[in-house]
Amino acid sequence: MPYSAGSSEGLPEAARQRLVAMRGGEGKKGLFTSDLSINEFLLCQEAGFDPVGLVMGSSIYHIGFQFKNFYQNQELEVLSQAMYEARELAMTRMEEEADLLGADGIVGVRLEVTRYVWGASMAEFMAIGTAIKHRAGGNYRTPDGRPFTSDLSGQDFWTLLKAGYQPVSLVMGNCVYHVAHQGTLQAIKQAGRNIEMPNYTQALYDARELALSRMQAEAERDGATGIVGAQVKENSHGWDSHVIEYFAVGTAVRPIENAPAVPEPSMVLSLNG
Amino acid sequence: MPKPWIATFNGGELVCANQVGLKPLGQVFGCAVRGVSTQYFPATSDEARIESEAFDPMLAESLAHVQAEATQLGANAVVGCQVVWTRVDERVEASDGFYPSTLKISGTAVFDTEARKGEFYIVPASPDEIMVLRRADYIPAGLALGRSTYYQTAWRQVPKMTGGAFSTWANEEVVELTRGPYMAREVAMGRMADMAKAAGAVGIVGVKIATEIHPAGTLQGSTMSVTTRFLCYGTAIRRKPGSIDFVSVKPIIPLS
Repeated sequence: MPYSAGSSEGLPEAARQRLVAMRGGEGKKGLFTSDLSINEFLLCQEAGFDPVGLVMGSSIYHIGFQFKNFYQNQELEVLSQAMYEARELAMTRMEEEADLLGADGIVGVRLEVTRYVWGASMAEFMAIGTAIKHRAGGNYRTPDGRPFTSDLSGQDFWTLLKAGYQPVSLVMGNCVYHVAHQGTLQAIKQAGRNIEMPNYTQALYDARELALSRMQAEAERDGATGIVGAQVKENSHGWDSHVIEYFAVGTAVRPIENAPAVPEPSMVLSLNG
Repeated sequence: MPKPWIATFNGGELVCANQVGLKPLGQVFGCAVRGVSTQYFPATSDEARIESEAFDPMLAESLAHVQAEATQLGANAVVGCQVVWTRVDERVEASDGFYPSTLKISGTAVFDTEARKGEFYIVPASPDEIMVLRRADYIPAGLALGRSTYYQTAWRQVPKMTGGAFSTWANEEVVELTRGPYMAREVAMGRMADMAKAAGAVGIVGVKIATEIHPAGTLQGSTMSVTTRFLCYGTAIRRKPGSIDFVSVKPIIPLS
């Protein structure tokens, strides 16, 4: 479900009530909620942004069936799609919540996947972050009108802005991959030797590259010039031993026009460990 | 000689506490337990009424315990507080239709030399955070907390959940089930905001969240309904009276 401007599809009734109550109005600012730490909160304010509310989206998703060939390296497309679509559903709802608050974007976004024993073929996907709004207005949304999203902390957000860049969107790419089992003959050949296992190397290499290239494609779509804080996470989410998901995630950024010069770093000896 | 005090502060926090006029006096704790009966197969998905009604008195009771312990130590505030809301034993629910719901609040009691007389506050913020807040002309106003227990039936979706013979092979969202935890979180966050508003706050920072999802009813091993317990809490903050609209902080980029 891609984001469409002004839509609040998929949000439960309580979300609309909560967000309308928080929005304020008639020149009066509403109360904000935020999972930013106090330092992060003040840094966002210093950068010209006020927090407007904690926003989130969630989806419980049934993951379909996929046949796998025991002796073949292959992407499990059904699972890749499920893991991607469910995350996108959660992200879209979070963006819709931010839109209802009239926010410019969301910082500190966390994406969580949880599986429960009571639902073997399901997983819960949740996206949560703090919606913020610039005090003086300005265009911080993505080219297609979405609020910007970013998994940067308040500290990183401030530093990014000072460095002359602004976040565009949280971009992600994933790949669920089945790593082929070894044949008996190959296992005998390798017994007792130091040797690279090319099919394993190739499988994990492929999967990682696919996830990364999908993340990059998203950044290109959103007109970004780069991705900061990119990470590739691997998780098997309780699947069989030869199935693994690579999940690439990062904040796509673009340069701010007429940005002031980057401040010089200074040497600090911190007393906090 | 006075007894030594106990605090969870680390060295940096202790220095900040000293700077900002918070004198540590000791660890304090408050707890409330209520027996809550479970609701089997209510007709509609809604907040679990019995548990919801039990919570507010539990919160009042544990906060009163914390305050009583702190006052005894000569404190007028509790900082760095943590809230844990849980069931004592989840196995009890399935067999007896009844379980003990527990709320625990702990923190470090302090004497705040800057607080107004007769004032008492409990906040999750630590001393270093309070120092930063005060420098930026904010005051910790108190604990803002919201929770919800939401019951969601999803019997239509059982085939999708089980992965058994009737399972669908397709990727799709489990719409009914998504609603349960989502509603619980939204309702709880709304309540947290209400609590802060009542304390005259402008906002809440440092919100922490905790989710528990349990099957509430099963049929032949398949989950028919789930109960979501969601808790969120943070530090409600106020502006210092007479403060200007915005206080500038001077961040630096360290070479670490």
